Amino acid sequence: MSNGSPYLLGPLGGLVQVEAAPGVGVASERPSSALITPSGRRWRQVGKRAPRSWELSFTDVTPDVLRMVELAAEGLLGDVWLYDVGAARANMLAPRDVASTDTARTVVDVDGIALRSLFAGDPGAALRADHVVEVPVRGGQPYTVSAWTTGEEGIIFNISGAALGSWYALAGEHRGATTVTPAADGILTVKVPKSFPGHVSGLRVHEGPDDGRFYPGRGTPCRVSVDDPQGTVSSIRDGEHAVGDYTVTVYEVGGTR
Amino acid sequence: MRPLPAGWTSGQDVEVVPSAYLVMPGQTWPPSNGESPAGTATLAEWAVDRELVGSLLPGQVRGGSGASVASGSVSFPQPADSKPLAPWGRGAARIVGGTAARLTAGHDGPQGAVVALGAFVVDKISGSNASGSVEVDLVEDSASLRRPVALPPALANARTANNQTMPFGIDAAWIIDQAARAGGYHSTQAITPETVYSMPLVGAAIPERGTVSLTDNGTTWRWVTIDGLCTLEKTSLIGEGRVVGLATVAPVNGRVWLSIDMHSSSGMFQFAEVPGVGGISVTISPSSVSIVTSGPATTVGVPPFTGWATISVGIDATAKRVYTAVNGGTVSAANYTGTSSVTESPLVDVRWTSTATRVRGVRVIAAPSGFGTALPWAARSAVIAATESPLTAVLPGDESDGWGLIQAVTGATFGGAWITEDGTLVYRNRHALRGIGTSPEKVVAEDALESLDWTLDPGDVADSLELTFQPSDEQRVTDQSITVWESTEVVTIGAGKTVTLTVDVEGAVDSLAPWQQSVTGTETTGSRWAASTQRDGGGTMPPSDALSITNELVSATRVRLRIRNNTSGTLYTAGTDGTTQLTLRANLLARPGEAQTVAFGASAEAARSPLTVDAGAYVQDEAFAEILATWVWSQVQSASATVERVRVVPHLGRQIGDVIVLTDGITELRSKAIITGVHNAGSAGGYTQHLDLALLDVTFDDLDVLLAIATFNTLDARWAGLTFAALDEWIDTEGVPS
Repeated sequence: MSNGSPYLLGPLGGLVQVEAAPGVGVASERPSSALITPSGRRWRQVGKRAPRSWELSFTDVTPDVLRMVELAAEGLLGDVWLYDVGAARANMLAPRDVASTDTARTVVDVDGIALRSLFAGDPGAALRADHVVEVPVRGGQPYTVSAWTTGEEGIIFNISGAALGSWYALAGEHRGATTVTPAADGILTVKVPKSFPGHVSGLRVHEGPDDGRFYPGRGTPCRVSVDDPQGTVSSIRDGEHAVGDYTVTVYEVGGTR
Repeated sequence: MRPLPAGWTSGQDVEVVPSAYLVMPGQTWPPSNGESPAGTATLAEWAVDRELVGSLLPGQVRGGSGASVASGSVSFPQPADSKPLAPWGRGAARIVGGTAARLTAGHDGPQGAVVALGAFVVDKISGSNASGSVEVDLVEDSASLRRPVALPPALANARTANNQTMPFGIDAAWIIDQAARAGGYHSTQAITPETVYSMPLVGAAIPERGTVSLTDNGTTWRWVTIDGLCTLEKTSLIGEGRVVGLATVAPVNGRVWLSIDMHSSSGMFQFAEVPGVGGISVTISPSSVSIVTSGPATTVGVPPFTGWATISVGIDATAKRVYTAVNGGTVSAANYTGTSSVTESPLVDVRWTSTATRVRGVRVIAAPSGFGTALPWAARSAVIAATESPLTAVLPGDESDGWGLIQAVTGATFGGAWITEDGTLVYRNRHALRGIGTSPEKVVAEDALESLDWTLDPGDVADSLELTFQPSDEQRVTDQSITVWESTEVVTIGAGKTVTLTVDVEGAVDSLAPWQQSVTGTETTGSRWAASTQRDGGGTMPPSDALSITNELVSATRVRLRIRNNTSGTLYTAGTDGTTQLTLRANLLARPGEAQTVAFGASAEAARSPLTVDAGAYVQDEAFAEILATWVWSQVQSASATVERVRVVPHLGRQIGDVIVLTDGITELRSKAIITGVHNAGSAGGYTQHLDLALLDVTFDDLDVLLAIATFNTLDARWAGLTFAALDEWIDTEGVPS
C-alpha cells in the first residue's frame, strides 16, 4: 500500500482506497437511557451494540476521487463495505467476539487484562461450543490471528478460507499467534475448537505482523450506507474536471457483520 | 415473579437492553433475514399492557369481576433488502392479518432463551410507502375461551355407584375448570382415546370417564388450595375414608398406565386390588412406588421433585415389570415379584389411604404397545385455585361462553383470573389476592421507583353491604316422592313397539324412581304410568305389565324414557278423563332457589355509600355467604391507597397478581402491595415498566407468622403500656413481612 489512505470502500472483492483528508470524525451511537430515582440512584440501560459513522472530507479533489462514494450513495454497488485500516491494525473482530460478557466463565489473562473465556464450560462440558468468526480480508496483506489461553497444550485455533493455518500451543504457553497472507480477497474463517483442554480469550485478527499485544475488536470491514457527498465546487478550468471540497458521511449498518 | 433466563442483568445498575421479537408461526411476513426466520420480526418499538380489573381490590371495589385482558402494540422496520411489506404485496411481501403472534424478549436472538411477553392475535396493522416501519396492534388470544360452553349439570349429593353421597360437595372451581377445558386450558393432563378412567378432582369428584364410589368411615374432606392448585384434602385423622373409582380396565396384553398429579408434601395414594377379585395394588408416594402382589412388595424410587408433578406408573402384568416416570421424563423400569391372580386386570379400585393426601388428575390409561417412552405429558396450561364456595348443584345458567363463566365465578368469589404471558390461565382466590401464602419481593421505593404517587378513593368505603346469593332449592327424600316431570301429551305406542321420549327436567335430578302402573291414580311415590286402549282414556285397565318403561339419565337435566308396549294392541298413555298419565319421580331434585341476602351496616335507606354484590348461583352455601360477606365488610371499612402507573426499575419477571413489600424511606411507608397492572414498553435505547399497585392491609396470616411462638408473657411484655391506637399502628407496621 503506497500512499497510506486509511479507508477502503466498495463491495467485497472490489475495495478501493478512498483518499480522504486527515481528520476523519468517527462517532458511535450506542442507544441508552437512564432513570434517576428519588434517592439519587442512577439506573442505566445501554444497547448491545454501538453503530458507528464516519465523516470523510475531501479537499481540492477531482471527480475520480469520489467515484466509489457516489456510486455507493446511489446504490449501484450493491452491498458496500468500509475497510478501516487503522481499526484493522488493532483488531478486526466484532467487539463482542473477542471475549465473553458472562461473568460466570473462567478468567483468562489477556495481555494483563482479565477477560472471560470464550467457552461456556470446562473442557468436556456439554455447554462448550466451537467459537467461529469470519473476517473478510484483502489479498496480499499479512494477517495475524492470536489468542491468549490458560496455559494448556493443544490446538488453539484453525484458520481456513483465504489461507490455511492453525496454531498449536505447548503446555505453559499462554499465547498463540500465526500470520497468514491470503493470495486474493476472501473470507477468513477462524475456529477456536472446543476440544482445547483449557480456556481461550482475547481473540484477535489484525492486519500486519504479530506484535504481542491485545486490542479490543473494532469490527472492520463492516457494511455501510453512504450518504450523498455534500460540498462546494471551487474551480473549473477549460477542458478539465471540476475541483471542489466535499464531505461524505458513512453509516455502519447491518447486524453482526 | 417468574425467573428470567440466565445471564439477564435486570436489577443491576447498568443493564443491557434486550431485543424484542414478534413471532408469528406459519407466516411468511416479514421475510427472513440473517438473524431471524420468516415470520419473526425484530421490533423497533413495543408496548404491552395488562391490568387486573375489579375484584374488590382497593381502587376497584365497585368495579366488575376480577379479570384481565392484555393488549399490545409493536412496530418493526420494513425489511432492508426486499420490497416493503404491504397488504397488496406479492409473495413474501404480502401482509396478512388476524394471525396468532407471540411477543418475546431475549438477548440471544429469537431462537435463544427468551422471556414470553404475551400470546396475542394480530389486530390492526398499518404502514406507509413513505415510512420505514410497520405498526401492529395486538389483542390477547382468548378466542378459544369465547366459544360457547355446555356446562354439564352436576349435583353434589348425587348418589355414587355404591349408593353413597359425597360429603365434600362441589367447589365453584369446578365450573372454572370446565370452562377452561372447553377452551383448551388444562389443569390436569388432557384425556386421550386410550384413557380408561379419568377423574381430574378439580373442585368436584366427577369423573371425566368412569364412575366413582365412596366409603366414608367418618372421614372429613375439603377442597383446599396447595401451591396454587385446587385439591381434595382429607382433614380427619380417624377413619380410613376412601373415595373409590371404579373402572372396567381391559388393558391390552396386561399393560396399563396409572397416573396421578401429586404434591411433594402429599401422603400415599393407592390403586388397590379389587376385593374378592384380586389384582395388583400400587402405592404411590412422592418418593417411591410400591407394587404388592401375592408375593412381597417391590419398591421403586421416584426422582425427587418439589411442588406438583405427574407421577406415572406402568404395569406389565405379563412380563412382571413396573415402569415409573415423573412428568414427561425418562422412564425407569424394574421387575417385581409375585403373581397376580388376574393377569389381565391389575387394578380396578382407586382409593386414598392416608391423611394430607394431595392428589389430582387420577388416570388409568390402557397401554396398547410398549412402555418404551413416557406417557405424553404437557405442562399445565391452567392453574386454578379452590374458590372455597361450596355448591349443591350446578345448573345451566345464563353465561354461555367460557370466559363469561370464568368472569362470573371470579366476580362472585372475589378472586382474580387472567391469562399469563406464556398463555397459562390462572385463577387465584381472594386469599391470594391479599398476599396470603406468598413470599413477596422487596421493593424499596426511593431506590426503585421514579416516584410514589398515591390515590385514596372514598369509593372504596361502604357503610352498608348487601350480598345476594342464590342457594339451590334441593329436595331430598328416600321414598321416591318428588315429582320431577309429568307428561303433557298422550303418547301412542303401537303393539309391541317401543317409543323413546327425551324429557328435559327443570333443574337437576338423580336417583330416578322405577316405573310402576298407577292403580288408583293418586299414588304419590314411584314413577307411575297409566294406559288405556282408547285414545280418550277410560275403558278397562290394562294389566300391570302392559308397558315397560325404563329411565336413562342422560345428564342431570335430561332423562330418556323408553316405553315398550308388551300387549297386542295399541295403547295410549291416557287415564280416565283423558288426563295424561306419565309421572316421573325421583329422590333428588335441585332447582335454582330464591335469592337470599346477607346484610351488614346501615339500612338501605340510611346508607350513604351502599355496596351491593350479587354472587348469583356461584355462592350457594349460607355459611360461606356469611364468611364472604364478613370478609367483604372488613375490606370496605376503610380505604387503602392505590399507586397508579408508577415507573419502576424494570424487571420483566413481574406479573399481575404478584405481591410485593413496598417500603419508602421518605414517607416511612411499609406495606404489602399487589401488582394490579403491568405496562411494559421498549424502544431502541431502553425499555420501561410502569406498575399499578394496590396497598394491602396486614392480614391475620402475617401476624400469625410474626408472632409464631410468642407466649402470653411475651406479648404482655411487648405490648405493655400501649394504647389501642398505638397497638393498631404496631400491627400495621410490624405485621408486614420483612
